Amino acid sequence: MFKLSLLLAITVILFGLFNYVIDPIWCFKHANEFNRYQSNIDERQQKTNFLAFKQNGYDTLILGNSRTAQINQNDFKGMKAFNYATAAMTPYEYQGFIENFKVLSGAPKTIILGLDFNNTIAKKSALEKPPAYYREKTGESFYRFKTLITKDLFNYSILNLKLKRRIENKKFRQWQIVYDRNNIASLTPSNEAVYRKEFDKLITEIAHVFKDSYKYNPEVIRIYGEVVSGNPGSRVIAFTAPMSKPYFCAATKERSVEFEQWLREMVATFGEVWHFEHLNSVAENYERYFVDGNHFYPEIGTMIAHTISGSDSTSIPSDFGILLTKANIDEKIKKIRSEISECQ
Amino acid sequence: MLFNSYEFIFIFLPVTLVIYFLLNRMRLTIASNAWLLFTSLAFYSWWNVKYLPLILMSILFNYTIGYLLVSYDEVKKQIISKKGILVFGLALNIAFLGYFKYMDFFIKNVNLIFSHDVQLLQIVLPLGISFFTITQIAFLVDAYEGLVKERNLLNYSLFVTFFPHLLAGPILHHKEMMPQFAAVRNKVINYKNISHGLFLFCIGLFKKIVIADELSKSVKLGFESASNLNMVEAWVTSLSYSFQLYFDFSGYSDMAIGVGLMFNILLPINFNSPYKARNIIDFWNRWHMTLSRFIRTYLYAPIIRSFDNITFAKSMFATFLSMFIAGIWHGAGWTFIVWGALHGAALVVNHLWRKFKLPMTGLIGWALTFGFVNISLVLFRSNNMTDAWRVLKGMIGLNGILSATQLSFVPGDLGRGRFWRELLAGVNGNDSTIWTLLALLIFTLFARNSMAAERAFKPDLKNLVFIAVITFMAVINLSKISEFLYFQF
Repeated sequence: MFKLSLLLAITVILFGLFNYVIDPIWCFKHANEFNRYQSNIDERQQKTNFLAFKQNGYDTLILGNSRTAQINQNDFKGMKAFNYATAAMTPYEYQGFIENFKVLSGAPKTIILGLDFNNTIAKKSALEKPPAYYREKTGESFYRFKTLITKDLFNYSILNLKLKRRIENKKFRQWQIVYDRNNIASLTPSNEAVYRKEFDKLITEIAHVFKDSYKYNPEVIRIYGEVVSGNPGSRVIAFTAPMSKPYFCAATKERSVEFEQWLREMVATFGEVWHFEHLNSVAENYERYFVDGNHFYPEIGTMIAHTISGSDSTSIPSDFGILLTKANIDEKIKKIRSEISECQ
Repeated sequence: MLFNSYEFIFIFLPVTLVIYFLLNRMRLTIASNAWLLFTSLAFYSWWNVKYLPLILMSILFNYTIGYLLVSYDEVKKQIISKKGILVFGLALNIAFLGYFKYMDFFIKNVNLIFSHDVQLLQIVLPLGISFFTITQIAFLVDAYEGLVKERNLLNYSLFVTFFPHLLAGPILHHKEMMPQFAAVRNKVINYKNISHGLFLFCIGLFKKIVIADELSKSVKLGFESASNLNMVEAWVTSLSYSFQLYFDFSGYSDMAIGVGLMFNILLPINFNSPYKARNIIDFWNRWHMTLSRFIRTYLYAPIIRSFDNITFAKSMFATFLSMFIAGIWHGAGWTFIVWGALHGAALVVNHLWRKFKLPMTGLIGWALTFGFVNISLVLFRSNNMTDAWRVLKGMIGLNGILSATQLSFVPGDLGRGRFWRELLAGVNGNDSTIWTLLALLIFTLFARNSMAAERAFKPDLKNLVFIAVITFMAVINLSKISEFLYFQF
């Protein structure tokens, strides 16, 4: 029995040690050559673990979907921001993740919401785990150490090593979000053939979604309002995330009325909105700035962060971003309407 | 607390074992039994401490009734008859079980029949209630029959709550347990028992985590999409469930028996390769054997004894009724009732077959038995009769044999991975799904079962490596970390 216990213990320790070194779900603080590149396995759990175990004490919370996740949290001047945006995050999850942040890092002085027109077709999914689930996981006894001896974590560790090899050999096929050890995202590109195929498929899908089955969900504005009213101690800054021109046209061509409604209602709710989801030189030059029709490269995220936080930056195109306010909404809507008409 | 959890394997079990034998070494045998009782109650309360008072009340009540029955003849003047005390005890136990397990089922059916809209009570079923209640029912009946001598509350409590069997059996009989708790030789640590117990525990853990929990994925998908299952998917779903249930339940029993053995307590065997059975009588002598024993002793025998003269027809009635009640015991739903009735009927048919000495070859007998058990388990797993019918409909081919996207089939397709992925899309399967089920069938039919393996166990290098490998595989699968799947963009 002693030999068995010893054999098992050594195997389990070596297994756990391997997973510890790579740390694919961000439970530990260390950084090394092997864990340099991190896949986005489950950003909700990874980012919650980051707050629980690696670093907290942030004063600014960023929420949104995978597009907002591209923004470097360190680019916001004068704010110690944490980017809690995750793939496919819907407005229904916002307040839950705000609560997580409050518990793990304290009440935020500022909440930055990355919104987009896709929010207006968001539905609450019965399949989604509530945000509290991820926080409760971090509170389980020996959570970090239990996960080290799981087959799943081992598989994710191998995934990260393969990702490292692909990046270092510059062998890319399909684009992918890659994180570093400090919650900063970057994108690996697709190869040309895959890019073309995926781009066309995406634009066709979006056009179909916004044409045939689209129904404006009024709950979304209510949820935006709850973020404001539910967090009276926090300043809420809202922005709309940029899109490529084909994507913008596919989404708004048939839904200009709803798009306008959404903009007006957001301004009424937030007071002002930084609007990047319009036609501008970034949207036009999409092959340079977007890895697909939808996800912009981190340099665009930097432009957004600098614009919102009032950082001086000469690299921001002058036509990138409009501050919509109650005073100018009517005038700006006219310009947006003419942009949409360009899509016809 | 579950056996297949980090807390149990790395903390609870080692600490409980060490302190138990330490106390015994210091000749503090009452303290060691009290320690076992304490840890057993802690084991139970880990799930929800709110329900601890319930099990304690049940123990105290049944101990009191049992004490009154055991000491009945010592008291000269009794107000209530001995039978009255027993009936009172049984009635309250059945009412206790009935309230927690069957109340909402009863309300649902009253609403259905009388078109009422009485709100359901949403009663949470206390863990292990079916097991610790029937264990104590058996104790009361034996106390009435004069077969019980136990009057010690600590020993009685330990008998009911001994944590290896508390949540899911084996169903213990006081006659086989009390002497073991009392035996002095059992108080001394026995390294042979520890190694055999560990061997059995690790096998059980592997069966549950690596085999049963993996099968549960396709079972869940299959039953959730029951309306759309083609014939192959439906059979994959039902067979996967048959194996899932067997490996899960027998794995749990292995772990329970293994843990008991570590404490020098021999728990009764619960599974003896049931899928090797060649008839349904044999099946019930191999499947959940302690339940079969309970049914025979405390359902069938009293029903038979209630008749003035016993005939074959009456014994068949008793057989059917016993299994019908056993079906109800398994769960609060029509599916369980029908399942119990089907097995009752099958047992009757088997007895008739024997009575009239009709021929049956081993292979046909096996195929009929396994097929019947597999089909009846569809009812066992389904949420309701409608869902069960959906799967059964698929199994008889009423939803088609191929998937909707497969327009034709040629024998050559059988070797293509893509063919199987399309065919089994509804259960997220592929060609290895079929091979896995085939391998499991061969294994259950021809391999030694875990109890036989334990009897033959020797702590040599081969077994050391075997146990290390299966335990490692089980431990690294104890918890899951899933990827986030995009449900919306």
